Order: sequence, then structure tokens, then C-alpha cells
Amino acid sequence: MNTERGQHSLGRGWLLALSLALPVMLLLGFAVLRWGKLFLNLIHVLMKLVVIA
Amino acid sequence: MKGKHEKAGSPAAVVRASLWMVSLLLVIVLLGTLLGGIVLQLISDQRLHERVATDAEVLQEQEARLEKTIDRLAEEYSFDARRVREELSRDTLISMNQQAVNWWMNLARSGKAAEIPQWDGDQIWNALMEDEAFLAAQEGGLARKNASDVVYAISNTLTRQVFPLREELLTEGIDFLGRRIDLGSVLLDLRKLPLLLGICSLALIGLIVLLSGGRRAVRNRFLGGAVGGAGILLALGVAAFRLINLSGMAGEASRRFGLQIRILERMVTIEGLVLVALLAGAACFCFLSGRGREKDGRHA
Repeated sequence: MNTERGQHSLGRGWLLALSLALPVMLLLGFAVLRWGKLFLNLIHVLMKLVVIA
Repeated sequence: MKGKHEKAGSPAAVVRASLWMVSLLLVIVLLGTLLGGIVLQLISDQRLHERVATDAEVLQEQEARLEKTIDRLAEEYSFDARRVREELSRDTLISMNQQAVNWWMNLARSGKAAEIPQWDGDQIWNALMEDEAFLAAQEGGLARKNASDVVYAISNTLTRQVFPLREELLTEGIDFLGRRIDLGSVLLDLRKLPLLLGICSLALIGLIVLLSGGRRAVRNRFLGGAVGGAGILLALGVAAFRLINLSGMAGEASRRFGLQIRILERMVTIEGLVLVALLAGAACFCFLSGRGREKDGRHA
């Protein structure tokens, strides 16, 4: 009974955590899709420029 | 009867929506605090950089490259490679790596690039001048000049091993930035950012406590939710960080730099995962500790 209630609380809690993380996840996901490749290419070029082989 | 109890125990819709919004803000601020802390550590933690710079794998790679250079020069100038290798001990390498870390720390603290560390190589010059085979092989009094050339080549390789970056480009870039912004004060502000975000987190936690109106079950659920949400996002961030494969990119530019980045990547991943586990544990603790109070509250 106690375990069931505990599982129920954990389930509800993590559902709330997921609902709180989801908007940020979507926003960051959008930013990554939009500018991620550009950002990575920039890092790549900078590394090749600055680092001595 | 049960529905009545639940209605009395749960906050009104507006309060619940406010709690959700404040918790969302707390998730963002907590994530910013954690990521800011990790970035700050990457920039300015001297011990972390010293651990990477003096890692056994890195030192072995540097030694192997130096040995290759010494062997090539020994063939060209006919000197005893073993004797020169002895002068370049692991302690010299560690000391040079630490100087390179100090250079980086100075840049991270003041925003000004100092001169990159150089090794004078006097011991090698002395060893060469005592090497009879070397002296005999040099014609027309070229021994001193050739010894200087050897020392320069070895010193140059050593500097490149511990500092595999183009100094002139870095200095130009830093000067360019320095003319537009006060880098020193920006770096100082950056160091304060995690602390400020931490204070914001505490204020938001206080707001959640106030909004929950003394209902510990509600307060703990939302606090746990925010902490858990930040944990989920941090876990995704760690996964994304691994997927980017920074060490692969650095490895394309320079093998030893890639190696250093790989070690740094490993340390950051472990730290990130420990933080995720701590956040998950704290969230579970909040959810479960709220459960007992919820039960008590219903019976009250």
C-alpha cells in the first residue's frame, strides 16, 4: 500500500518534472535545429585556424 | 467525500498555474546555474586544467613526439640521442605543461594574453657541447651554431607540444576583442553569474513556498518537479555534448589537442552525470517526502 502510494507520488512528480522540462526542451531543440550546424561549423573552423597540427 | 478533501487540499487553478510558471522559471535558472558553473569551471579551474595537461596519456604522447624529433635531429647532426633525451625529463614536460596552464589562467582572469612559455634548453646545449661524436661531426667551427639549431628545434617542438595553439592569431583575436570590450570586467562578471543565478534560484524557491500556502505536499511536488526538470534537461545536455564529438573535431586539427579535449570531455561528462544523479535523487526525495505530508494533511 505504502509502496503503491510512493510509486504514485513518484509518477506524478516525474510527470510534472517532464511537463516543466518540455517547453525548455522544445525551445532548445528549435535553437539547435536552427543554429546548431552553423555553431558546430564555426567551432570546427576556429579549431582548424587556431590549433597547430 | 474524497473529492471534497482533494479540492480543499489542492491550490486553486490560478495559484497552480502560477506555481507551474514559477517552477518553469526555476528550471531555467537552475539549468543556467549548473551550466554556468560547468562552463566557469572549464574556463577558470586551474586544477582541472592541470589534471588534463599532466595526464599520463598526454605526457606519453608528448614524449613520443619529442623522441621522434630528437631521433631525426640526432641522425642529421650525429649526436647521442639518448643523452639528449635524458635532459628532457618528464618533470621538464610537467613543468612546461603547468606553465601553459598558468598562461591560460592568466588569460581567463585578466583577459590579457601573456607571452607563451618557452624552454631555454641550456641543458641540451651543454650536453651537445660535451658530446664528442657531435663535436667531431661538425665541420669548420659550426658546432655552436648547429647546437643552437638543435636546441631551437627541440625547444620549438616542446612548446608546440604543451601549447598547440597559434599564438599570433590568439593574441590578435584577444586584442581585437579587448579594443571593443573590457575583457577583464566581462570575465569578472561571468565569474559572478552562477552565484547570481543561484541567488535567483533561492528567491524562486521562496516564491514557490509562499505560493504553496503552507501545503508541504504541493510545495515539495513543485520543488521536486523543478529540480527533476533541470535534471532531465541536464541529462539531455550531457548527451548532446557527447554527440557533438568535440574531441573528434579537435583531433582533426591536432592529435594531441584532440587527446586533451577527450580527457576534458570525459571529466565534464562524469561531473554532469553526477549532477544529474544528485538532481534526480533530490527530486525523488521531494516527491516522497511530500507524500507523507499529503497523507497527514488529508487526515488533518
